[in-house]
Amino acid sequence: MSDTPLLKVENLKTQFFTEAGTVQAVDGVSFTVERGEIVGLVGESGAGKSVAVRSILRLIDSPGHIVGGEITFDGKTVVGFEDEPGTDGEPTRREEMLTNTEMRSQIRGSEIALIFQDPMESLNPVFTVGGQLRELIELNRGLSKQAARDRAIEILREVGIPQPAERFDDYPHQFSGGMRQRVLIAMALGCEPKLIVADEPTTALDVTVEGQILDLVYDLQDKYDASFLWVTHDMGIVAEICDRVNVMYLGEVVERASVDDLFYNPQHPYTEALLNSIPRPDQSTEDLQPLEGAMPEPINPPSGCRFHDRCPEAREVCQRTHPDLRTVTEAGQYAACLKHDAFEAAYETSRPLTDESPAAGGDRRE
Amino acid sequence: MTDVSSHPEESEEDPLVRVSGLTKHFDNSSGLLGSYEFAPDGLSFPFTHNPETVRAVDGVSFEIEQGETLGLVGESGCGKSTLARVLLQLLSPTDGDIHFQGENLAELSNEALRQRREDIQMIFQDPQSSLDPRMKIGAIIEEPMEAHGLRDATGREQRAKELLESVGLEPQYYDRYPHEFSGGQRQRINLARALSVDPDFVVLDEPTSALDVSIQAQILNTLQDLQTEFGLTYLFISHDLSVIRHISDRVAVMYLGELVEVGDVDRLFEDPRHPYTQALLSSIPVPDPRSRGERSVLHGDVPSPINPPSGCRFRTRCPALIAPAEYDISGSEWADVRELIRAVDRRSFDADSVSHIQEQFLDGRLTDTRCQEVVTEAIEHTVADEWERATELLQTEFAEKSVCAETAPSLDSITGEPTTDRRVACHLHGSEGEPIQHE
Amino acid sequence: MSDATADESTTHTPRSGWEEVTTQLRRNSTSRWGMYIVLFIIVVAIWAFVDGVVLDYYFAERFWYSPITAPPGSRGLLPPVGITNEYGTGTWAHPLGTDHRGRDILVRLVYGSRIAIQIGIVATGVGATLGTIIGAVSGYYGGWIDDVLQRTVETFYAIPFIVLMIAIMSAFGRGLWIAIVGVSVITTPIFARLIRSEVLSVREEEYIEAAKAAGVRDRNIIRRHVIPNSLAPVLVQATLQIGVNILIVAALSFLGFGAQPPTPSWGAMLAQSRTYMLPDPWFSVWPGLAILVTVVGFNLVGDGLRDAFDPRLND
Repeated sequence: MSDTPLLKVENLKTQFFTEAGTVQAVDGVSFTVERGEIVGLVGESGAGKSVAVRSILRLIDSPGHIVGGEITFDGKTVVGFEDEPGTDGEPTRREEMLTNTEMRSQIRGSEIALIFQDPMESLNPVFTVGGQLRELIELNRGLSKQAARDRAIEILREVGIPQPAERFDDYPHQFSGGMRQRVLIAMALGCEPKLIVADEPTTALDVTVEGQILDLVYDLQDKYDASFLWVTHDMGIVAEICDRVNVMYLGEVVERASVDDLFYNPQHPYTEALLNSIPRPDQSTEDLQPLEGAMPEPINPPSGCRFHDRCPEAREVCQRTHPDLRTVTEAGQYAACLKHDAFEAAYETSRPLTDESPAAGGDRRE
Repeated sequence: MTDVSSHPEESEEDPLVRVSGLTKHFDNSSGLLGSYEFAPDGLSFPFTHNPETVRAVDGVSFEIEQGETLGLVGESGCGKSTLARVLLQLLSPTDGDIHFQGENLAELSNEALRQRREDIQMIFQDPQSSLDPRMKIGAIIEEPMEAHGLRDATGREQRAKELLESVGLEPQYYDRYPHEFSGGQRQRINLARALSVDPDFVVLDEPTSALDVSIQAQILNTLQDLQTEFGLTYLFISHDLSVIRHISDRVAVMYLGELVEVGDVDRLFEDPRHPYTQALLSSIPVPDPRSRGERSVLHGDVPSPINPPSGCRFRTRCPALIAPAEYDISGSEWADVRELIRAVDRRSFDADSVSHIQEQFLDGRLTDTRCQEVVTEAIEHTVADEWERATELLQTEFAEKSVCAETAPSLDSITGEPTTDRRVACHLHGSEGEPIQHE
Repeated sequence: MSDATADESTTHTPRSGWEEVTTQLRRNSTSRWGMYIVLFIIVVAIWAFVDGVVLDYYFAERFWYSPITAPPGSRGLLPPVGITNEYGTGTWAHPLGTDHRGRDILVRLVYGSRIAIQIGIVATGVGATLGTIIGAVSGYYGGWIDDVLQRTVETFYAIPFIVLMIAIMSAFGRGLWIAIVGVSVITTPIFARLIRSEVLSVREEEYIEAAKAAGVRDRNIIRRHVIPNSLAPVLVQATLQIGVNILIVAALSFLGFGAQPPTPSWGAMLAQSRTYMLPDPWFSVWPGLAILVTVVGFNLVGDGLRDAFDPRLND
């Protein structure tokens, strides 16, 4: 494995400029994906995961704009800005940052493929599934129409579509949810990209179908040596397929660790709380310990550490100081929490925040 | 217990809810003439009346005791939401009885039924669309009370505010509109509304599926608290097995309109008996990276409820499909044949040569010569690209001769089990005496 | 523990969908102009009603010119101020000119507005209400009720309205109230169909099912949930329909139905001006302009309402 990561996202900032204010959907997010690994991006809705992955593919439309950070993929600069803002106060793009045309022709689909949660978003309902797949292969791999068709049928079989030659001529609505998702995977693979970004692809599927898709992903990763960036909110899936995990909260990455470390030795209170609040199929859980409140809107994040108003371990210093992501264990886990020594924030001596803080409402028996 | 009838022992009190033989079929044909088929064969009248019925729920029976939570689990399309609606008479059943506190709901007049609704309430899946966006939530919570003539206007307002507090919201939210709340809060408003008439029984149709993980946990805790505080009985419907395990006392597993297994929650999860339950439980990704690789996969798609498979509806995907009695075939040979049947059905392999395929699926020639003949013939069809004929042959000679295809198993208690609480609808646990031999 | 919303202020003013709509309407400049026009015309019409019908043109005759009879010494077919035609030069006494009988056109325009608005609004109101009830019942219950009501409605829809009006008026007379009834009849089907299609989708909403499950009676469900949630397109259509109906009323007066002479009405004025187009084209301009401006005003308001309802209320 080479030492430059396949995908490197550094300090990405994406904002949405709306009437109600500026939504800081992604506020300084960094992570990497190495060749051949599956990296998970976990978080609840509103955390900014979908915005982050769409920023990687530069699929952000007005009123959203990528306003800062650097993204490099396979040596190419997908997003990069000069240090000094331009004359209009807006950040200026770096020279080597790819243009929109280059993104479209070189990167999207052929180098990086994106699988959405809802297959109907990517499948055109008025064309046959086989036709769409064949066209994709034809364009991206330069094959003849017949050769592309053969390859398409082959891929359909590989992803487990029964009777692939017949179903080639079927329309998207004639497939079940799980089958459609397989078609999307087929389309993602058709161009043999280096990186596949999957945005909650199994959330809408049944458990048994989800299981099939996960197995499929495993096999295909093995066969094509593809790397995955997998966005989900389901910790079960994370445990099942990810190698490394990034936990996102309100536009930031708050913990990064290998999957085993994350589950067995979480370093951030949010990760811990998340793990404690999920019921498990393999054991009876007596009491779920949910987090209080809900994730606030990214338009006006809390001061200091964004999690402080819901954190059971919050102290006074957490309201004032904003922690960035730092290495906190020898194993190489990263966490953005002031309680660790790496921050030297005098956490121990600071007064704990209790339920007397004005943000909490009345008391609730738990 | 020596009596193998399918009814559990009579307890001292009748269960709060008893459903027997509940059936709901939908007519799927469209238009005035859609249900007629034109098939000219020169002999008889060419038009046949052939209505396409969707057999959403078929002969479902279960009981729920006072104060317990019965979890109903199944994947999408299994009919659980339809079952919930038929239970509440929001849809009228095609057949079957629903006894609530001894009274048969299916036989009540419209007005009597409407009055009974005071005791049975429902929480829906989507917290947003179940609240009228143009009404203030105070009015929403009071509406059921009004409908049943409970209290006066001041009394209702007071009760509504009390309920807001009980479900964890502020009483001053009384004057707000639904769109001002988050998903979790809206679901609490739904709870407050349901509780306003002091029901005995609440049906919850996927109440947390649309919510975030941490909010889901809050709502589940609230549900349990409310159950204790108000003495409620729940029917909790979900596709999420983890949630079901957490909140239920007993569990019923549903597949394609029928119940396949019912039992106490811990025992069912630790020791599932029905192959579908087993498959379901082992498909779930467990949030524990050290238990990777222990998952098994259930292949294929759920068949259409318009034309469900004969006999046991799960037989087309069952990893434990029973071999036809007439063949002399060992367990492992049969497992191979089974795999071949399904692979041919899905055309999931390249049909290059007979010998190669034979090698690929079977471990040498089959003992029973008749079996081997059939298999060879089927493989030959696939090589000749006659997949349909191959499938047909394999289906007629193997799949349809299995007892699983000939008789539908009934939901019976397992022979040899000490109690009759656990019931399974599977020929492997036949009520005719010994469990059928199976590897 | 309570779930926190982003807004924790204690003085919280709930904003219903309606308040959002009116704010939106006010912000949009074209619909604002439409509202000004409509309000102006309505005020004028109310004045015309009070003075004309109740007070029998008391103020008109005292301080202005009677719209019914020609002022003494006036001449017919005078052009507006500053223009000369073969009948004379316009003066400020009759700023828009005089009609063929020498009556002041401006006065007749003002008092003619009453007919337009009266029939327009009343007929539309009646038609919308009736149509809403029919459509709501039809859409909610479905089945044979739906079939019977819809076929009835469609029958009326199928007959061309002028023909229908002529039939009604030949049977029952030509007066103002007959005209109102007639226009109501042809307006009802439009609303019945409109509401029915809204109701068809509203009744599938989960909150309707929730209300049923809670035991709310059908008639209360329709009244409290179905109709309020189906109203948006009805309101839009109603404003546009007033404009349409005013045109219809004008067409009817043009044909001699509706308000009878000498009661002033814009359509009648247009009819009368036809004969005198060559000598005095100005006579026909003013009633036509009045109709145009009024209908445009209602259209602008209707469009504004449609925009205001559309994406906002999806929240």
